[in-house]
This record gives sequence, structure tokens and C-alpha cells, in this order.
Amino acid sequence: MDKDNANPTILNVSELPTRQNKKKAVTPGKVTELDLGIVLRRPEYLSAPFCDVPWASDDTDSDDGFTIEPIDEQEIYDLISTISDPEHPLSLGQLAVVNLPDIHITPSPSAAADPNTLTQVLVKITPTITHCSLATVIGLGIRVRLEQALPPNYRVDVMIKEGTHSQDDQVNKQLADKERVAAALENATLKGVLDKMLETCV
Amino acid sequence: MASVPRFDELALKYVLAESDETALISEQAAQAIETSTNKRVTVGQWAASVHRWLQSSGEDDLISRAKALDFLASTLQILSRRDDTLNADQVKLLVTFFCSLFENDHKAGVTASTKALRHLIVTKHFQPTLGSEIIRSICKLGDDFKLQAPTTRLEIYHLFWSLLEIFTEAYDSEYWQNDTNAFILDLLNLCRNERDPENLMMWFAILKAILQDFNPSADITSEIFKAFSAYFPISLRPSAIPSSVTTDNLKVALRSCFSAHSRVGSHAIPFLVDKLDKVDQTVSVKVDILLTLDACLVKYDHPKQSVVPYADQIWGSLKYEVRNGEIQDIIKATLKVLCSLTKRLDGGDLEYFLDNSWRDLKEDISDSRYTAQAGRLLVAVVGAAPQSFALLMPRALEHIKKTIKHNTSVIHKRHLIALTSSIVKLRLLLVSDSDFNQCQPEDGVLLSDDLFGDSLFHDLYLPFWEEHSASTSPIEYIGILGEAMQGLGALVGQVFSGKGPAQRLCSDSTCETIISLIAKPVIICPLRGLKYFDLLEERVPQVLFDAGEEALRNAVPLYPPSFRYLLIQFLGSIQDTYRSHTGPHDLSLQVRNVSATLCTIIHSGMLEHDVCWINEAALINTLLQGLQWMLSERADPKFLVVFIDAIHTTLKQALKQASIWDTTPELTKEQFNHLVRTFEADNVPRADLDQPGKIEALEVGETGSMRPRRAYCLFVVQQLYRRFTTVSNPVISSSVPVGEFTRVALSGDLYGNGPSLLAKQDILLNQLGQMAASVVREFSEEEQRALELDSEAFYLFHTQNYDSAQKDAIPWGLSPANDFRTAPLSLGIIQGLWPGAIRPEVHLPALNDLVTVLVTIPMPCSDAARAAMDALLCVLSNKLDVKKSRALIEQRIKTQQCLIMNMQALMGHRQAIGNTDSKLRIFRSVLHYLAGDVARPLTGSDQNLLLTLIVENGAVDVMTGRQLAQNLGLMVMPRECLSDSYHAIHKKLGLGWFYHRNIVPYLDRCFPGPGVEEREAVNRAVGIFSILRHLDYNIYTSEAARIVRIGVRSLDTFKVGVETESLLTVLLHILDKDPSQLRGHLAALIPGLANIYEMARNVADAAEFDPNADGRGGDQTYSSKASRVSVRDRDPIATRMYTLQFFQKLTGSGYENHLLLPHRRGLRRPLATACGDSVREIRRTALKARQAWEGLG
Repeated sequence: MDKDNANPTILNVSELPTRQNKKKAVTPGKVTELDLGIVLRRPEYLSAPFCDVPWASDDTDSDDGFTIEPIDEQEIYDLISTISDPEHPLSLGQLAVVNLPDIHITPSPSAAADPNTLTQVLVKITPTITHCSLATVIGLGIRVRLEQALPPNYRVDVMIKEGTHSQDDQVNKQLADKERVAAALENATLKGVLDKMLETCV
Repeated sequence: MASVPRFDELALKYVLAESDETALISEQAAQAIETSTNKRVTVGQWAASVHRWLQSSGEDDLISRAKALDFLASTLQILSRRDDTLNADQVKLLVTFFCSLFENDHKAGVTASTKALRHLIVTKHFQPTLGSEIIRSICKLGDDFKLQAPTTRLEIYHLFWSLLEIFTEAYDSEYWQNDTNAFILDLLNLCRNERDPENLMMWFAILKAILQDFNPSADITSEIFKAFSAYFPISLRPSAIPSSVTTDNLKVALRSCFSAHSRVGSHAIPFLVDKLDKVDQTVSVKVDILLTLDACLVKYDHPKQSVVPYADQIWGSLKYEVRNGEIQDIIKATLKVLCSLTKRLDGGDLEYFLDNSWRDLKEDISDSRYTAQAGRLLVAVVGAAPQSFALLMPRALEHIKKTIKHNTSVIHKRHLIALTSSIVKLRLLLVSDSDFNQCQPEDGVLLSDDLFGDSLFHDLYLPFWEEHSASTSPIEYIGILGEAMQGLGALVGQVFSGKGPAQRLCSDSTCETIISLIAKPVIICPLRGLKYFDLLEERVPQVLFDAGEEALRNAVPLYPPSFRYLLIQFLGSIQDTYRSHTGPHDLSLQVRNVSATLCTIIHSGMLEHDVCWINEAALINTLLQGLQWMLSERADPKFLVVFIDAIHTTLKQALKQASIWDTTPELTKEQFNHLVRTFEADNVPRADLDQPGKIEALEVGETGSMRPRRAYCLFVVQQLYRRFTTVSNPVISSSVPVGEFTRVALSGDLYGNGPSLLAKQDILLNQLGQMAASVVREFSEEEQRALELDSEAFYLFHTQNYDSAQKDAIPWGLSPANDFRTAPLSLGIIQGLWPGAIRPEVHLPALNDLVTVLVTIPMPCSDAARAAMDALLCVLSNKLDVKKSRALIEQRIKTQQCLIMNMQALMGHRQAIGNTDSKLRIFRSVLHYLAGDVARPLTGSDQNLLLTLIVENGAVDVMTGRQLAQNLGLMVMPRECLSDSYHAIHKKLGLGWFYHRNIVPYLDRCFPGPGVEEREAVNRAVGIFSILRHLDYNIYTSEAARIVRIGVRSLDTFKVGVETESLLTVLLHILDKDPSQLRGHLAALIPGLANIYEMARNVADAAEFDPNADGRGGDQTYSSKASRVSVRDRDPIATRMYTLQFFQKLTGSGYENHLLLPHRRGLRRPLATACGDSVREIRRTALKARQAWEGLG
């Protein structure tokens, strides 16, 4: 089969938006070499469960490394950017089909949100070319991935970004139609394509 | 004549025998020959014994004929070991006989004959002249040779090899010149189709030996070359029969044929170059060709004849491999060949070659597309030998300088400056190379000294740097500056290349300028909060920082005075920034990072040990000054902590060096005091000196060690302890008269009393204590005893000038001054001591005093101090080495009695003194005591009364049983202070003893029943899981089934928090080690754990709305109810995490699907909800678990 877009623009993996890079920049590089970590952490006898005294130092992270953070746009991006493109051996992130600024969460994420609040996630995808015939499959893949990965109080909407596809109305309609989505997932061939796309997700 | 039938019989027996009996039969035959009086006849009879098989020539008799001949061969094998049984005639006769078989019997005779001949040729009377005859007859095999089995051929190759060895010993190479070249041709002809890898290895070795030792004529050489070059490039096809020979073995063996002798050079080099020039060669083939060419160039003798004629051809072909090449392996191999080639040239040949190559390189250097590649070629050629460097470098450098000046392309500039840096680094290597000193001319200088001093810096680097390092420069310049830095770092170390002392080429002022350029991004910008480039968000780009740090690592060892400059910059920048309040808000973090960088620079392994030590001392000294300065500025304690941490890091590194390099004899108190006086008298800077001292003074050699690192480290600890504490005579209590007791207390530096300030000061004291522990533990038991460190733990080094009466006025025990806040300092010292270094007269009062304080209600100290005191209690109880005396055992029981009385008073009665919090604190202290005590279990029945009381009665207590049970794990938790590095006493299998004594008997009491109330059952289960989570599965494996049952019951009875966390930890252990234990309980476990996750979620959600729950910050009254609820109970993160991990691992534990599938439906909703957990890491685990369950079936 001929590819719709045989020569797409590819982003370097290291240039994609990630959370890790931001954290890395803060930590000094020599820590491991000098086992600085051992010196800098609080003495063991002052940590749980030996003792429960708060440690006033402002530089150290929490003991266990756990962070209480709400599901934000970056997390949604991390979930879907690793999906493989159906025709190239590249991820949707690398092809810039999904982009961080095109992910919207309402109400906007905050740590104190009630876990039962209904939350809407809107992902706008940018096909690599305006007549991409696989835009619907990609949209479906994103939808399936998010529904499998988000808690039940999240509603997922996938749309084509305005002006990036010649038939965006029709594609959007298909993606929003629950019954058509359900029917599509019954189709063995399509299911095979989707499974292949989601294989690379971690 | 009785022996005639004997050989016949033996031969027949041999033919009919199984393979394991044959050895015995040939042994008999050999013995018969040896013992016979008339050997001539006997040997004749023995040889004739196989006659009947030789007569038959039918196909059916092949096997028996071969076996009969093998009888002769194996008899010979035994005879050959005993050397001179056979005389020369017999040997000759036998050789002729076996040789004839090669002509007559190609099917059955070859293997046995070869074997027999191999043994014959090593006998004493074998004549080398027979060798040629053997070869000639083997060659008569002709085409039948390749029909022989590979193993037979291998035997023949071994025979050839042995014959060659005999020839080499017997004749010189001249002998072969005319006559016997023919046998080589026959040999080549015979073996030309060899394909078996193992045989090829032998064949190549034979060819190599012929080339090296037999002086073959030109024609023959050419034939030999054809024989082995036909195999090139060699590879190995996968075969059904595994072979021990690899492709690499074959490559190396074949390569050694190419490089065997310069006489094949005229064939080999053109052949290899020609192969290289062919298109469509794979990477591995190209690399093989290049490595072979390199081997030839390196090994050939007479380079004038064998190498020089091909130099141009090689250059002409190989330069394109680098110029247009993309594969690093090929490029590296090519550069190696060119380097080897240049090394073999000298005089006019070298000049001619360099002129020729420079013509190409010059052009390419000017072309930005090829600069990088041309640079690599240039470095390979000039780096080959000092001569080539001297011949080519002046014009090359001139050309590079000119090109840089007239260039505007960023990429081109970057390549050119990188090339310059490589050349500067290369010169550094050449000067330090040992070969260089040998080929150096007597009076001259070889390495263009005049080009690599100040002139290079002022002509090239400085203008270049000034042009590109402006703060408004575009960001593309970052890379250029990084490359330049590498060169600058190496430029500092350039030395005179002539004979005599290594004199630096750059002047001091140039070196200082260079260091200041490199120090800017690494030290000055981070500390002063300056931006290196205005256009960038970050202060210093990481690339530049890394390049600068590496450059400093190189430069500091080459120009030692530079470290002092860096230290002055470090301190000066901190002071200016702190004072001006304009610096970065994270100054303390930057100080930490930069001091770590400084520490890395001196410990990069490039400094000489003595210089390294001097720099360590200088760094510690500077950090002490920084600390001193911060104290004088009354800075926030967090700045003091940063300096303490930096000193700690440096001390640790210094002590690591000490353990490798310093051979210090045992340190005595006198020596230490003497050293301390030297440190002080020689103006070695102390924390209270403003001026940097003369660090050279540390090179004192009188005390037996050139590098008194450990003593200096202890000295530093001593100084810091004295600085932060003081001796006072306060009124401790009304019962003690004024002045009777002298006490140590915190010094005026730690002033103020706000709770957050106190907390920060406590951090300082704890870090200082841990630094002391790191230092003290490095001393041996004898040294610690000699230095009386046990009492210093309570004097805190304040009694140096006291007489014994004054010392006696200070009791051995923690100082109650400042609410016991000096406890972490005492702990630090005691923690590092060997058990034998604590005298009982110090140990016991300290321990008993500590127990008295810890059981006092209301608590006379803060929680932080109490934590240190609990740790101290644990260490003291562990290090009481009771084995040494009966009195100590009694003392130990006395201490325990005191604790038992206190425990009994606290347990049971509602009316008991104190509130639950105080009780719990005391319980925990007792558990800390036991933790130290049970690490070295004493097995007598009356030895563990306190332990028995806690385990037996604790769970039954109405008021505090549950909380006590939750904390039981404290007794067996792995602890740093009980680790081997702190010399704690450990008994092997101690945990197993503990388990069998304190857990197994109570497993049955975890279920309510006759005599067991529900409360006791639950409390026991809580306690058991609290302990089990710290034990290895192997310890409780035999009771695992019972433990799982208790676990299943506990799903409903445990509180969400620490209790469920312990339970889940144990369940995860079991699931990991033996999933079958859980198989029967899945129906209860899965819904039960889903329920626990949900409760844990609810607890966490509820905590968010509880204003009191936030124990951090706010008012720190120690009895506040909220602060006593542990963080893990407020927000059971670990419980949630472990539950989901458990669900995830269930699917991968080898259970059949029919056991799991019924639960999938019930888990879908909980797992989906868990994907919305408030903690990101938990969400990730939930997603994995969810996918794992969806993927089932």
C-alpha cells in the first residue's frame, strides 16, 4: 500500500516535552560520584519509622520520592505520545500528531480536586497531511488508550485540530459517535491495527 | 618361542576388544617388547602380529584392519614415552612400513599410520632426514587427502607441525634454500582445499612457520601467499557440528600469515589495499582488512624494503576512508593503520610522506566540509612519533591559525578550534610518553616548544575567546567555547620538551588568565548568580559547565597553584553574593554544588598523592573559613549546614584516599597531640582564623607519615565540636550545688529560640555528629582507646588542658544542658567506636544515665534530641561486650531490670502515670534498647527477661498493646548504626534465633479461641507482621502457610496505615518467593485487598480536609495530638502502592488463568479508580496492573 505521507517531518525524541528533563536540570551531576546523597540526607535515626520529626531542610525531597500531583496535560501527553503511527515506525509524539498545547483538561487540574468530579479531556490531533485517510484510526487509537488508562470519572474527546484536515467535520463526527466507535472496535482487522499501535505504549 | 603366539593373541584381542580395554592390551605388548632380551626379534614378531589383517584387502575388513594397525600405533605411543627402546634401524624400518601405508592403504591405514608416525618421530633415535620421506609419502595421498575425515586430517597437520619443529631444530634456514623447497609445493598442493575450521587453524600456523623459518624462494613465497590469501576475508558458516574455533580465531590466525615475514610484503600490501578499494565491502570485512594491514605494517622488518615503497599507495587509498567515511569502527581502524605507517618511516622517507599528505590535508582543513576528518588524519599522522610532530606541526598550526582568523562559519570555527585543542592535548601526551625521552636529541627540542607557550594563547585562544564569549553571543557559540576550554585546560600543562627539568611553557600570568576564564562558568557564575549568556534561561549551559569542569580537572594537576586561585574565587564569590543580597535565591544549593565540583577536581585521580592531600587540606581549610565567616555574619543555619556537609564530603573522600595510599602507623595520643600542635603552630588554619594558612606545613614528615590525613580529619572534627559547644557550670537542678558539675552545652553561635530556628540548628548538630561518626570509625580499636574517644563522646573535646580532677567533675553521660540537644554530637562519636574501645567505667554510667533520662515523664528533651538519644541507647546496648566479663552480664541484667520495672509500671493500669504519648515514647526507647541487644543474642533463659516481657505481655496490654505491637519491628529493622562499617556486634543467624524464640510460639495465638481474646489475637498479628516485614523469607518459610492464614484474617482487622503496610510487604515477599502459598486464598485476598485500597484512598482524601493533620510546620508543642499520628497513617501511600503492586504481580506469578479470571470483573472498577490516585507513581502502577488484568486469557 502506498503511504499517504511518505516523507513526514520527524521530531527528535529528546526534543519532545517531558517531565523528567525539568527535574534533572536541578540535581547536581556529581552526586553519585561522591556519594553526596548519603551525606546530605537526614540521618537514619531521624527518619520514619525510627522517628517522626519533620526535617526543616528546604533542599531535600520527600523521603519516599512520592509526589502528590494531579493528572495534568503532560501526563495525558505521556500516555498517548508513545502510540505508534499506523504507517510509520514512529510515535505520534515524534510525528507531532499529538502536541502538548493541544491537550485540554476541564476543570483544570489541581491537587485538591474531588476524585468524583467529572473531568473532561479534550485532545486535538494534527494529521501530518490534510488528506490523511488514517486520521480516524489515529483518533480512535488515542480514544481507546485514554479510556483504558484514565479513571472512570474522566470523559475523553478526540478531535481534529481546526484547519489541519480537509474533512475534519466528518472525522470529528465519527470519533464522537459512541456507537460507531463501539462498532469499530468489534471489527477484527481494525482491532488488530489498534493493538499494533498501542503495543509501544508503556 | 613362547612369545610368538602372544603378540598374535594380543593383536586379536585388541581388534575384538571394547575401546576401554584396548589401553591395557597395548600396555602388555609394550611391556613384552621392553622386557625381552632380544629386542630385534621381539619387535619383528610384534610388527608381524598384524600380518593376517594386512593380507586381506576387502571392504569388510576395513575396520578390523584399521584396529589392528591401531594396535601397533598405541603400543608405539607407550614405547615412545619410555624413549630409547627402539634403535635407529627399527625406527627407520617402522617409518618405512607406515609410510608405505599412505601409498597402499588410503582407507584403513591413514589414521593409524599418522598416529604411529607421530610417536615414532619423537623417539630418541629418529633421524631428521626421514622427515622429508614422511612428507613425501603423505603427499602421495593426493586427492584422497580431502576424503579423509577432518579428525584424521587434523592428525596429519599435527604430524607436519611436529616435523617442522624437528627441522627447525636440526637445520638452519640456509639448508632449505635449494633442495627441499619442493616438499613445500607438494604440501601446498595436498592441503589446498581445507575447509574445516580447526584444521585451518593448524594449517595457517604451519604456513606461518614455513614463511618465518624456512627461507622459501620468491616463487615458493608467492605460492604460499596464494594458498592463504585465497581464504581472505575469512568467515565461518554456521555448522551443525559445534566447533571451538570462532571467526575471530580464524581471522587472527590468517592475519598472522599476512604479517609473518616481510618477504610476503610485496604481495600482501598491494593485495590488501586493492581489497579495501573494492566497493560493497561490509563493515566487518573492511575492519578486518585494516587490522591485517596494520599488523603487516607493525611487524615487518626492513621497513625500507617492505613498507616504504607502499607508503604513498596506502595513504592515497586510506585517506578516503576517513575523509568520506561514516562508520566509526572503520575510521578508527584506518587512523590506526596510518599511525603505524608513519611510525615505520624515518629520515627522508618520512619527510616525503608528510609533504605528500600535508598537500591533501591543507586543502581539506580549509574546506569546512572536510575539516573535522582532515583534523583526525592530521592528529593520527603527527601523533605517531615526535619526529613527525616536529616536522609537520609548525606549518599545520600556522595554517590552522590563519584559517580561524579568516573565517566566519560557526561550524568551521568549531571544527578548527577542536582540532587545535586536540593538538594541544596530543603534545601533552607525547611529552609524557616514555618513548619520547629515548629518541630525544641531546641538545635540541623536538616538539615545537616555541609554538605552544604564551604565543599560542595570545595569538589564538585569547582573541578567539574574547570574540565569542561576550554575554550577548548567540547560543551556537556555546559549543565553540566548550571545545576551546578543553584546549585551554591542556595548554596550562605544556612543558619544555628538551632534556632537563620539566619547565612550564606558559608564564604564570597566562596560566592564571586561563584558569580565570575556565573558572567563570564553573565557579563564579553559579555562585554570583550571573548569567553566562543573556539569551539563555539557564545561568550556565550544561555543556559549558561540563567542559569547564573537565578542563579544570585537567588543568589543576598540571598547574597546582591554580587550585588556590579557585578557592579564593569560591570564598570571595560566596561572601560578596551573601552580603549584597542580590545573588541567587538558591545560594546554599549552589555552594553545595560548587564545593562538590571542587572536591571532584582534586579526586579525579590525576593528582599526585601528595598534591592531592595538600589540596584536600586547602579545600577543608577554605570550607572552614567559609563556615567561620557565615558564623560571623550570623547567617541562617542552613548556610552553616551546607558548609558542614561540604566538609563532611571532603573528609570522606580524604579518608578514602588515606585507606588506599597512606601507610600510617598506629596513632598514639602523644603523636596526635603533637600533630595537633604542629597543625596549630604552623599556622594551619583553624575555624577561627581569617587568613589562609601555609598549607605546605602539612607536609610534616616527623611523625612517620607524610600525609597525616586521619589525624587532620579528627582535628577538624575536634575544632568544629569545640566551636559549636562550650563548657559551662550551670545549675542543673536544685539538688546539685552550683559548680559541682561542669557540663558541656551549646555555644553562643547557636542562639535564638524560635521553633523553626531550633529545628534548623538541630539539623546542623545532627550532620556534625554524623561527620564525626564517619571520621571516628576509620581509627582502629587501639587508636580509639589511646585517644580516649569514649570519654570524648561526653567531654566533646573540651578537656584537653584539664587535669584529672577537673575531668572528674564532668560526669560520663549526656549533658542535660540545652534540653539534651548535644546528644547527636555524643552519638556521632560513640557510633564510630569499636566495642572494645569503650571502657566499662564510661559505658555503664552513660547507659544507665541515658535510661534514666529516657524513662522520665514528662520528657525533658525535644523529639529530635530524643531520636538521637534512642539511637545512642541502641548503640550503647549493642556495644556492651558482655562476653568479656561476668560483671558486665550482671550490669546488663541490672539495666534491664530498671527498664522492666518501668515497663511494668506503665502497662496494664488505666491509672498509670503519664499519657499514652509518653508511654509510647518510653516503649519505643525500650525497643531501641532491645534492637541493639538482640543483634547479639544471649541464649540463656534468664538473659532475656525484658524481651520476654515485651513480646509476651505487650500484646495483652489493654491501653497500649496495639501501638506497642505496631512498633515491634523496630527491634529487627536493619539500621545504619548497627552496620559493620560502624563496628557493631552481630551474631550470625541472630534473626533466625529471634524468629524462633519470639514469633513461632505465638503464631497460634493470632486467632481468638480458648484463652485468647480477640484483642490479643489482633495485637499479636500486628506485632508479628511488623517484625516479619524485616525478615528474609527463608527464615519463616516453614511457617509460611500459617502466616498466610493469619494474613488473610488480618485483612479485616488491621487498621489502614502502618499495619496494612507491614501485612502487604510480607504478602509481596511470599508472592515473590513462593506463590503457591497464596493459591488457595486468592478468593479472600483479592476482594480483601481491593477493599483495603479503597479505605486507604478514603483515609487520604479525608486527611486533605483535616486542618490538624499537617504535622509539618506550625506550632511544635511536643505533645500535640496531631503530630503523634504518624505520617504513614495520615496518608497511607505505601499501602496503596503495595496493594496495586500485589495485583500487578498476581498476574505474573504463574497462576492458571482459571484461578484469576473469576476476579477480573470485580477488580475492573477498583483498578480503573486507582488510575485516578492522587500520587503519580501509584497511578503508573495502577495502569500497569489494569493492563495486566485486561491482558489475561
